[in-house]
Amino acid sequence: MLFNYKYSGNTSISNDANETAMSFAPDALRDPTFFVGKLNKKIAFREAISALHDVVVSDLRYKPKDRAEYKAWAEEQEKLWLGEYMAGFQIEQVKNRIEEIRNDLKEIYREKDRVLGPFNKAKLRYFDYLYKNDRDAWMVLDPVITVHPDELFFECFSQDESSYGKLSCNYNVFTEINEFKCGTTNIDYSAELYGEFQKIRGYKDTSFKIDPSGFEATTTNEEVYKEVKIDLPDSWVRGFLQVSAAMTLPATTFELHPMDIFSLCQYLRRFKETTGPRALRFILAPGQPVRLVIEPWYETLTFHRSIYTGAEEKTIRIWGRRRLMILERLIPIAKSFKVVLLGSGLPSFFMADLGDMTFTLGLSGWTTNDWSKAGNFDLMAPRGNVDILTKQKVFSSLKETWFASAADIAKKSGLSSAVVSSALTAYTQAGRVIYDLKQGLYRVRELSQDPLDFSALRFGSEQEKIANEFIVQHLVKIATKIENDVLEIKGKVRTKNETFSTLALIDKDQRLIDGSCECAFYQSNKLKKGPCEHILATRMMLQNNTVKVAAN
Amino acid sequence: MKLIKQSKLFFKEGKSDKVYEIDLCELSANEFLVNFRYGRREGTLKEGTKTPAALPLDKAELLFAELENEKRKKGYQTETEVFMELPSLDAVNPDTKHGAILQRLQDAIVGKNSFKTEWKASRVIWKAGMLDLQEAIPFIIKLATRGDEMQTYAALYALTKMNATTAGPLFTALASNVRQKEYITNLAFEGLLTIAAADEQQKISNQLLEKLPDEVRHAVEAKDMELLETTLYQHTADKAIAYFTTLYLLAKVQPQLLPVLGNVLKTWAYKPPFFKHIRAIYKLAQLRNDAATVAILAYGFEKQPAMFRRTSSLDANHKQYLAVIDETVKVGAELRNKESKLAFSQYTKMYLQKNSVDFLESTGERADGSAYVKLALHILLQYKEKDYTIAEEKPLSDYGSYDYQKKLYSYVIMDYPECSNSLLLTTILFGNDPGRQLQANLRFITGKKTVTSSHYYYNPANINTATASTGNNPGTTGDSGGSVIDAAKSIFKSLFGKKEAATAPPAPVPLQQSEFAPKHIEDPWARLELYPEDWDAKPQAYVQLLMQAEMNRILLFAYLRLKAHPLIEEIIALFDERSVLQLLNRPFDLPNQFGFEIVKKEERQFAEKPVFIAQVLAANSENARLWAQDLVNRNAELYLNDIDFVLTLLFNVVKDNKNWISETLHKHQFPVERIQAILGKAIAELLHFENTDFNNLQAKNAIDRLVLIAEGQMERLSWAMVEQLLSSALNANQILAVKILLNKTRNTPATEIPMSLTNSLLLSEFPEVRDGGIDLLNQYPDHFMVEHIQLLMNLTDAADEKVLAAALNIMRKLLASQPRIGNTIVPHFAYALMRKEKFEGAHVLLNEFLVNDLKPYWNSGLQPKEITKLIHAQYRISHLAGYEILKAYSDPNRFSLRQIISFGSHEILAIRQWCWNYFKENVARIREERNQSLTLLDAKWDDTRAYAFHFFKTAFTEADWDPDTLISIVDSIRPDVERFGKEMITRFFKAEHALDYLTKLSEHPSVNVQAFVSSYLAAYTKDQPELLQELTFYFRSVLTRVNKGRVAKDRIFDFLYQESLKNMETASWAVGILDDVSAQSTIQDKAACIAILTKIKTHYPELDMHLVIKN
Repeated sequence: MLFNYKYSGNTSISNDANETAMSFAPDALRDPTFFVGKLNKKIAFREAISALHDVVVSDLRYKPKDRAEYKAWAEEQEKLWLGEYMAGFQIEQVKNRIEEIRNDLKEIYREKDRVLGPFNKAKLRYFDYLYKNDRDAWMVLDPVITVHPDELFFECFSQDESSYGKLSCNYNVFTEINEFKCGTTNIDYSAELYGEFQKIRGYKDTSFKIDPSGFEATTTNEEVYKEVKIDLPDSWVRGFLQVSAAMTLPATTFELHPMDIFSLCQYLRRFKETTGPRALRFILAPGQPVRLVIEPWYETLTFHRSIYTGAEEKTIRIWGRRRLMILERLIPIAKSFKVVLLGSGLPSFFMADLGDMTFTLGLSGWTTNDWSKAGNFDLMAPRGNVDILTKQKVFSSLKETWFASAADIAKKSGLSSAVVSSALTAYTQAGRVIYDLKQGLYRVRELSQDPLDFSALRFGSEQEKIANEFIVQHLVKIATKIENDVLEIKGKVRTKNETFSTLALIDKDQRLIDGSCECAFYQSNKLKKGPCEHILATRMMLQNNTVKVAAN
Repeated sequence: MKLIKQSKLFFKEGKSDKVYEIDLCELSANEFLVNFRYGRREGTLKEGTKTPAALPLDKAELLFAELENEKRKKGYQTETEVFMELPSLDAVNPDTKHGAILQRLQDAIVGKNSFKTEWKASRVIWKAGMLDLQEAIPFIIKLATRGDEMQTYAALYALTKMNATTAGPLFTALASNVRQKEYITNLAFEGLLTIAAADEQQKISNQLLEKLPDEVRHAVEAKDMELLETTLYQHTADKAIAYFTTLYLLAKVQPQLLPVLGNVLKTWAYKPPFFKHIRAIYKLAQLRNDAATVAILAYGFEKQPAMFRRTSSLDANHKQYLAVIDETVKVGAELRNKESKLAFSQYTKMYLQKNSVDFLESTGERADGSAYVKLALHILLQYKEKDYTIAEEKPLSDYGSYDYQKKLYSYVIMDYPECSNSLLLTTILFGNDPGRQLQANLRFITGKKTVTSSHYYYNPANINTATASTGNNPGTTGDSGGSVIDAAKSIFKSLFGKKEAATAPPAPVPLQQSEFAPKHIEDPWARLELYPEDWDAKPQAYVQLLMQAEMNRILLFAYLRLKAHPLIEEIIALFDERSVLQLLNRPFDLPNQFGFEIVKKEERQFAEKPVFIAQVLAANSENARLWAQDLVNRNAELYLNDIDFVLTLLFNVVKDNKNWISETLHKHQFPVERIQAILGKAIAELLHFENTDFNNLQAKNAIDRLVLIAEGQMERLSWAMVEQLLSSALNANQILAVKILLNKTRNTPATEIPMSLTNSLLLSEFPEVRDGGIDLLNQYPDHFMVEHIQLLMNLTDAADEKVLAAALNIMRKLLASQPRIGNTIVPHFAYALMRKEKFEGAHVLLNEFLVNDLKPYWNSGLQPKEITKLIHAQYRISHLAGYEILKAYSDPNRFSLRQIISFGSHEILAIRQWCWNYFKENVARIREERNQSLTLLDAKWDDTRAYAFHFFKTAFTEADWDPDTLISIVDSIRPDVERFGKEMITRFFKAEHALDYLTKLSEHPSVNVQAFVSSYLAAYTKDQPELLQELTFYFRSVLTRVNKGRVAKDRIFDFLYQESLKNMETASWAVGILDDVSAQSTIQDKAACIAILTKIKTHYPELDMHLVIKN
């Protein structure tokens, strides 16, 4: 999916001994949105925005070691070893000859190093230079800033397509607010900014502005505008929308003491598991302290100062726990953490209450969204059918006030609140509205200038789309059994011409670890290109009921 | 209740005489009822309803149609049909062909069979229709709705064909019945249109119009054929053409639609969803004798590939994989499906090819020869040159079959005549040639033989002997003298195996051609075509072929026949100039030749028309052009004095003529007033041209020639004319405008030409125009240029190298005479270097100019801000230019420190070094602005930072440092700078500043600095409870560091332990922190917290905390 931005100049933060001036360059292609003010809660803001930065750069995907060089060396060495071994059978003369040749070879290598040395060094330096100079190319999507009549919030999504960060600041965070205009815009963002944020101090005068000057017509001759074209993977955008959509689902909530997060992070920092399962298991009992079981050691942390107030007993497992370490910086300034869990393997949210600011960390079900997790939950499925006209009516009603609760809109527009909710959920899924978990409001936030092509994002892959059709048309039948901690799903998928027998194996981390099918795609690719639509359908059938429960 | 539609049906048979009435009534908007009454005619009728509850219109109409069909099936019919008198058959002899048909019809009504063979009713009806048996009409009307759909279809077809006016009610009933199949309603409409009077036709066509989509309907009603065509193409692309047959039906009353429909039909693929309509339209076209449409489709059946190959019978139960739709389907079932994805199998293709040949031939058999010629003509016009195949010998297969006895490979060699795979073409042009035999694959051969070879792969060089020639295979034709048609007949018979032998028409009488035409060698004068006498009766068909056909073989046919025609002289006399030109302009040789022959014949008469000669000069025929050139050469005066001749000549685009035209025009002396007239008319013409490639080419030629003859006159043209030319649609007009402008400047000062005009010329897409612009630019005097310096500077953005070079040259010249403009120009160049270059090498040129020619103005014309921007621009060449300027800049102090420091982070070492040097040489200024200058420590480059460390260590003395500056060093996020800062703090530490350091550094987020701060804690903050409040964030932050800062944590615990016991205020503050921190699970820190809290609790039991001490 291609995104185009046009920034007037760069975002700049200038620091000296007495003052700090932050000036964010907004996207000039979008409707003018700006804000000019001074920071009041400086240190807290610094810590919170640094945590947001941690979300932007977070990438916890598994990166295999690059062993190419070792392999090349080993191959070379193998010949030598073989030669030596063979020499053991030969007479002295051959040994001498080998020694001679080896010396010659050494000489040649040395000469080669001498000749090529400067070149190699220069090459290395060049790559270093590229690395430093082009670091911005590592950024994915610049953060989105939204200015609303009651608050201002930043949103971002991580590189590994799994964590979502939102920092909302109400206007107490600022003093001397000069001018602002509500709306949403992207801001120019670079890795260097993080360093500059660190220089914010309580004793320095700190101004904060989303620069309005970029929207004025300029007549100078230089190239003022920096045009950026970013080709975001569809999966990235989809992940972002999935997490946003998850916020609108009903959930289990409880509060944690900041030191509970400390204990959790501390445990994770101390121990690193080598085998799965790698889940966190929240054990919730009404009136009891929240307990947390850390797999695979099954170590229990009991949070005595955090009492679960819900009505029924539950155990919820979540994965991708190392992402929680993003919250570390917030521990000293947070009053408490509110945890919102949708269910096992579903997205979860951790909201740090920082007084006038709220930091929301949204986590997708897993850190990596590869094929083994595909077809797990369909968060993008439409919930309730609302016709386009009604949807637009609801949206324009929301746009008048920028934010409102579903009930308010229902009252204003005279529609039933169920219809309003479904319409707003559809807009959330399309990235045009966001649900404010803290206040229970819907807020207008257009992720991009032009509405996203929702149909292209509805499914992660073509296979998933077909698999979903199988499910909708009731063409899938499954039977399950558990053997050696592995869930075995046997399925029959009836297609137009044939019926395929499928098998999907799910491990304790709910990953699809193996599968088989009779179709041509599987026969020629096995699982190398991901599962075929039939295996996916088998897997989705298992989750079908779970999602139904979650959605209703 | 309002009656919308009513159907009264009657039944009469023997004693039974019943009536059945169906009503469709409107109860209210969108509520409809279907009621019925029935009983004996003229008796009291019983009432009933089919709708217990009211239905919407579409459902109610379906119900109505269903009921009507049901009753019709049982034999109910409308009044006229039922009470129509059947003619008595007493006078008819059942042994004649007509009699037998009538008898069979009678039998079908009564339900018996008085013949030995059994015929389906539909077949009898069809036959009656084909024979145009008017007496059969009442029978057919009776039978129409009494059988299956095929019977209804056959009845409608026959009735329409016979123009049966009495069948009106039947047509109306079926056309409006929504339950009927589409092909039946279509045919019913066709019938209605055929028999209807003019006013009724209008009503029916309105009905049809309503079935069309809005945009099509609008186009048809507005008679906007262009709009209609684009809409139809769009719908074709979208595959939304469900209404197409309706449109064709409409074409019966609106014949202007036909050409549009034909064009669209030609683009269609013979596949679903199109094929259904192709078939329907084909049938309707045959019924209408619409030669043009039949020809288009018949040609399509022949040339379009079959969509798929069916390999099993239609009712077979097994599936077949079809690559064309990538599915495995039961072919028969799929074809019967309403939304079938398949159509046009190889069998359908063959059937339809056969059908089109049959139709062609039966048209010819009928008395009216002109109908045949019309159809044949239209078919021949469909063929393109690429359809032509040469006569050749080819083996059936390149691999021989092995004969074990002879130990040789044998091959069957086929002799293919030309166009052997064009069935229709061969039928029309060679239908009377007995030598051509039709194969089962619908290809023609003139003979075949078997040869042997010792090689398994066919190669003509290796052939041994021609063993046997099986020239005319008696097995396939039975009669060696038979014509192609006979051959085709027998082939089709064996293909489709229908029992139609009895009705086979007599073969056309073959002409006695065998004595003229020995086999294989075609005598061009032999009459091989079918029905030669029909052709000869309409010689204008030959002319039309010559005018329009697109295959040389067909043209040859037309040419030879026309030449041999007895009336050739009269025909030639009918040709006027326009049609001769048409012939001469055809892209084929034969029409050209024929056209030239006509011209030669009336040479004198034609030569008197200069415009005609000019047009001949632009014609495709080279002979004609040469003839015309010769004429002009011989009598130049006559022609060149004709203005229209000259004008036409100016716009001539034939390449071969180019030189000749130039020479001719050059040689001739035109009088001045004539030149002006020519110039005026030519320009008027040019102004009207649309902007197309061809027009641009024409205009370019014309302009070249105009310059040749009228150069001297151009300057007299007005400015308005130039402006008009510049703003006209045709791009090439700009070239002329430039030519005129350049001419004008010869006598008038260049300053009269507005600079903006020149500017627009320089931006033109034509090199000629830009060159002209450059010429103009060079003619401006210096003072004028200085006045318009802005426009000149804008030319530095030109996308053309020549223009830029010209602009630079002028500036160079100006600088020599008017040095003061230098300061104005310099910044412009700096900015030009910051922008992306418009063509490769532009920056190099600009840079050269800036560095070499503008050097004296660097100091006076450039601001530090501009230089800084240049140095930090995106391009390397700008960096280097910037550096050159920086080096030569006389007063570096005009740069702000921030700008200077930014040079310290530049990629180019020399620029960084310049920055270092500046620091070294301006220590006083650096000291003065130390807050700003310290940011050099944060430079991106290691070498600059190393220099900065060294510089600040050596150049700054203790007096230069204050806590604020030192702290701001530590604030850096680079570990080396932070370290340097800490080092400097420790070196210049003064106790009186300790608290300042402590409070300010406590806000630092780094672990190292926090540890650094903790070392000052015990010494400088003890006994100051009011200060501790300010440090709350620091304490909390350190104590909640996960797995980090052990030393700092321990120090803080220790400090808290010491301080909190000193006074209540501190204790209560410490409890706030410790109480929170104690909620962790790390045993060491938890224990430390509990220990301190226990102490505090024992000291100040009234303080509130989570810790409870028991006993």
